[in-house]
Amino acid sequence: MKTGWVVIGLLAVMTAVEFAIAVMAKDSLLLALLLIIALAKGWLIIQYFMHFGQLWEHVSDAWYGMLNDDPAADSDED
Amino acid sequence: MAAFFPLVRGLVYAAVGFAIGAGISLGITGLTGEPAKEPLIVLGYVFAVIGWLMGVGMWKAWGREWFGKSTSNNPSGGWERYLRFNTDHKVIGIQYLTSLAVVFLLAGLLAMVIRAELADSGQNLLTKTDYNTTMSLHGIMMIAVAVAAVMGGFSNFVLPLIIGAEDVAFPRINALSFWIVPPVVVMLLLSPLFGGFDTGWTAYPPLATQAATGALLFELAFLTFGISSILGGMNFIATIITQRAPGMTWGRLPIFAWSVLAASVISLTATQWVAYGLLMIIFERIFNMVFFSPPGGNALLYEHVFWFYSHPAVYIMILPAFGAELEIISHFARKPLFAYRWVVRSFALIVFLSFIVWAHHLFTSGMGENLHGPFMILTELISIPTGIVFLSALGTLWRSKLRLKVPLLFALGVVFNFTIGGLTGIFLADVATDISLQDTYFVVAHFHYTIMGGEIFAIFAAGYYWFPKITGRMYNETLGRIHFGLMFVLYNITFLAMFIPGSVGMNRRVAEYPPQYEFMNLIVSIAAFGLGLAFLPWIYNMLNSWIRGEKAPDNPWGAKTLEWQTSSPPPLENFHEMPKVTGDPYGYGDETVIHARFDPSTTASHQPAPAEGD
Amino acid sequence: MTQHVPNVNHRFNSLTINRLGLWLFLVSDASFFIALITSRFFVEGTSRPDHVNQALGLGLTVLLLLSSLTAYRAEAAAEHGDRKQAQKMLLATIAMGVIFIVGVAFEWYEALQHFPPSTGFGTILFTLTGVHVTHVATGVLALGFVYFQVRRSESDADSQWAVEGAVKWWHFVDVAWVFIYPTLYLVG
Repeated sequence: MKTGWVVIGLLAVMTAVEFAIAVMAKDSLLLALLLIIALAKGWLIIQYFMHFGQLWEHVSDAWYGMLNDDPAADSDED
Repeated sequence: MAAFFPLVRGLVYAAVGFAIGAGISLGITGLTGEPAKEPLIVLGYVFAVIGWLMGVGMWKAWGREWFGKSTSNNPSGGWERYLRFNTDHKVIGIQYLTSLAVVFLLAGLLAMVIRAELADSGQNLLTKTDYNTTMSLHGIMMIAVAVAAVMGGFSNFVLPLIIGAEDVAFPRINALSFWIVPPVVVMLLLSPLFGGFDTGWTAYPPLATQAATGALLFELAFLTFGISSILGGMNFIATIITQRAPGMTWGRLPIFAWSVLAASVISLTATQWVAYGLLMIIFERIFNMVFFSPPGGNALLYEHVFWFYSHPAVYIMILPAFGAELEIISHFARKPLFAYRWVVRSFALIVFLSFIVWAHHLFTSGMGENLHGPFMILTELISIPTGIVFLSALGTLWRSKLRLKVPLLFALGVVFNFTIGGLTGIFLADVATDISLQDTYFVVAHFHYTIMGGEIFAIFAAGYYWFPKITGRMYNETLGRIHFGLMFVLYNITFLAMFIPGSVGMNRRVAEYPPQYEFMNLIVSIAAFGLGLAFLPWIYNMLNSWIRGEKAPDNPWGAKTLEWQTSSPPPLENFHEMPKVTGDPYGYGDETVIHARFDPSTTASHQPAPAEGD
Repeated sequence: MTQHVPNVNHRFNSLTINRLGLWLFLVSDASFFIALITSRFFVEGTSRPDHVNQALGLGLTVLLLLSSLTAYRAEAAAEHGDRKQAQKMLLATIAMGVIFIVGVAFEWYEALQHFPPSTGFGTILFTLTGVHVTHVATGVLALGFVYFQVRRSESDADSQWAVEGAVKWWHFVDVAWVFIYPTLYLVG
């Protein structure tokens, strides 16, 4: 519950900053800053609202053995 | 007759859907002014596709769930199970393969029409628009076959079997991805009635935004096909990650599964770009938007977006073809696949590089000249991973005792043809030569060497290879050899001869051409007609063997991969007993390597346990 | 997700498989938005006409971000078995979604006067907002179905994936807007 409020607070601050620099900064610098802020906002939502990490911890064992074939993998499977 | 009920219901619902969509469109456009034809087609089509899907069985198997009702889904049954929304991946694979075989033959007939027109330098059979529509239809239908026969047909049938799964990760999405293909074919075949589309399958604007309504039908069909491709790609990635049998580690994954995974990554992400390109053209047509027309718009935008998909798309076609080819070569050479790990790395590198070479299609389009050099070098870099795939094939063949059955003959044909396709590609990747060769028959011959000589030959190899597993019957070996001999020789005459008028400047996409190219074109046409006839033994062989062929054993090739360790054709749940993977799929020549064991305790039917239990 | 055969591979439960599938589809859809946003810079560069309604743009952004919070809380409530709270939060999200659609409709009404679709900026604006608002509409629809499913369901497990899937989709729509907002309103 608390995470939600912290994240939305950060998002609000960043949106305000975004809007403010759009009024002040110019062209190429503005483009870079806007991109950085948008990436940060997107990351916040993906990480905390969409639980991206949760997917990773469930799927991570799928990558097991991708680079090396551990013979021990056979004995303790299923 | 009851078997056709889902199809009839689908057509009725589609008609109702079209009426609803058309009605809404008429209402909106009628309110704001003159009722317009194209918005009506777009909206009517969208609703018609939804109606069609629900009618063929999606409502019963899926849609009811959204409203909290129970769903019913019966994947088993006789031949009528092929005629409805069915979630069994084997049924879907066969649905894809049989319907695409029909599309392939239709598109082949169009090629015959093209060659008949081009046998003579004058314009005699068709009007110029009709010629262009014929050529465009041949192109897009063959592209559809090339993408969907491997990614829809063979991947669907073979992939879950080869990784030891019971089905794909999302069976219902899988069924959906097949049932939106029939509207694609219908729209393409209807387009000549709406003035056809003389844009070629690439549909560059501004021509595409100005062409007759047939072009709109083409855009909608292509867009729908893209959805099918995206959903298929998503499904295969999820399947390979989550549905592998116990013990099927990444290092033991058969190379065909790796190739499907690589192709799925491309179809998942790149297809959206062409979807956007097509959407822009539709918007420009029905909303008068200005993506491509000045002021503001830029026609190059389409070429960038289009080739950002369509160049990777050739790897959607060729990667699974390589996978099937290597699979067949290893099993028929009775040797472990040479440099397995390097092939996997090459696939990954091809996927990566395929995304950053698209602009080599734009060398003569007015793109910034500072981009020519980088894209030339990146394009030529692709020959490195492709070369490794070839070395793997050659290394597997090296000093092996080949069993020269029909699947292997076709696989060797791939090696020969794709070498020519690859070598001629260098001239097109090179800016200096491309500037004079672009838009000539050299390009046409080149891509027929890669796609037809490479991929279609691999599809036939795969078709003969998996025929016993798919149908439970053996094909006729003699007829298969006749088919291969005719097809290989006539194919090579047709397209080798096509390089010659191309390299001296004969343009593609013309019905009429200067008379000095006539002689070579006549040779190409005669060989092409022969090539068309070469498919007759194949048609007869497939139909006759499927109905009357002798029963196939479970493992006619003695292959080690999992799909051959179950009955032919496989039961509904694929394996009678649960497989447990314990070794390399290509461990030929080493009796201690056993790819998979079956655990009889996992089923009710207790069969004698295999001698080598663990 | 009903499958006609039992799943033998116990390493992955159906929830994980569904999550993976949805994420893959989101990756795919994200590339569509990347294409959309790229075309804005290709066609119009960084130029921006003066008539863009800044107050409306900011308002829509705030609205969508807030709706993401309620969607998040709906998911958390459903996970903890508080179905009353989940329904309340789903309704709030749907309401904000509908207001967003109305806002876009108002924006289009204004845009038709200043930059119709037959101008460069109008082309971009109508396409970007049009594609995005279609996603919003499908999100509202999905949340609506899920709302009724939560109300009907006997146990929490029945609707867990339904809630999670619809809410993830809604967040994705939000992420898309996070990039579309500066592209349309702030650049230039």
